Amino acid sequence: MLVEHPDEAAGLAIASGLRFAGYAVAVCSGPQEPGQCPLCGIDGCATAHDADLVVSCLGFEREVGREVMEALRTRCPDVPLLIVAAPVTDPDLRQLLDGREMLPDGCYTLRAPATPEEIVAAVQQLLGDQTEELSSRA
Amino acid sequence: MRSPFHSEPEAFNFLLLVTVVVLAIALAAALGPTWLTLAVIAVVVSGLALRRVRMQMVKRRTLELELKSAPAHAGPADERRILLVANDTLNEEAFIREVETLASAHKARVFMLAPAIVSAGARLTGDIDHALEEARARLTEALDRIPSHLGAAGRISDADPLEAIEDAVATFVPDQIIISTRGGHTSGGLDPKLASLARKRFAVPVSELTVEPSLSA
Repeated sequence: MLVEHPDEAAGLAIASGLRFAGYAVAVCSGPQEPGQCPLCGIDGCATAHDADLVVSCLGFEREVGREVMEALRTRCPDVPLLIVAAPVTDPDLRQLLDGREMLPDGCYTLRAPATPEEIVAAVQQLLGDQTEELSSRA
Repeated sequence: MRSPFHSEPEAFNFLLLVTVVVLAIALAAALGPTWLTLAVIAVVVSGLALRRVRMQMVKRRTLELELKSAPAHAGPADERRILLVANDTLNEEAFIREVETLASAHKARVFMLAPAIVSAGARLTGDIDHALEEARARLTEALDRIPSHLGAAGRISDADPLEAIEDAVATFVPDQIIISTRGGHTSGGLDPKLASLARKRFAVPVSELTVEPSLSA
């Protein structure tokens, strides 16, 4: 489980909730500047590729957050992505996000602010749903 | 600085590098003119400098994006597992009291890790027995002083303190790490920077417990 959160304490609180729910976690504070995240470069990010699910709390407001989320969708399309973000009210940003199709299939959103318990519940629901889906396919 | 003899492959690579470098310089000195020897030395020094710069760049890049990790919680859901890392503060009264307080809490499980403090020189020569004995003696005394019904346990480690913590995170699976130091750097004590290094690596809360030497010590 990969948690991306710019705030160290908040990231650890979510990680703690996920650990007690039975998931191994990795926490990344995300890049400070565009192009800094290995996921966007040639190396890629093994942690993101191998994750069962990514929880991104980087937000849409900053370019680095949008860049990482776009890279997650294009580079790791099979990894479910839970985006915890406030609703976008700025019309310019809304237009930008629509143009970049930031929320395609396999991408789930949770309205921020969300407590660690709410995030853990959302993760459990998402992974539970996927397990059921896989079982019904089998 | 990491010892070139830290592992068998590293030691082999280091010896191979030294052999090749010495051989090249010796051959140039024996068979060629002085300028050839100087040129070989210049090439070797440039190569080592280039390697150093490359390693620094890789390190800086890694530091730019910290990735902390932790395994899933182990044991009963309501159990809280606390890893205490200490060496020269193990027998201080303040440390023992802290362990007793933590271990007395409901469903708390305390594990003490005592990494042996081995100097770079001693690690290079493999002379670590004395440091291990010291760590063992301190840990044994600390465990003797803590009431047995509290269930505190511990072990020593000959690894680098950060790697020892990494091993303990994998085996004991703590929910919290407490690192006890003297505050300022003391010889024979844990590096005060250890907590900040651990904070960068592990996705569990890491706190510091600074213990001053007791008057009786």
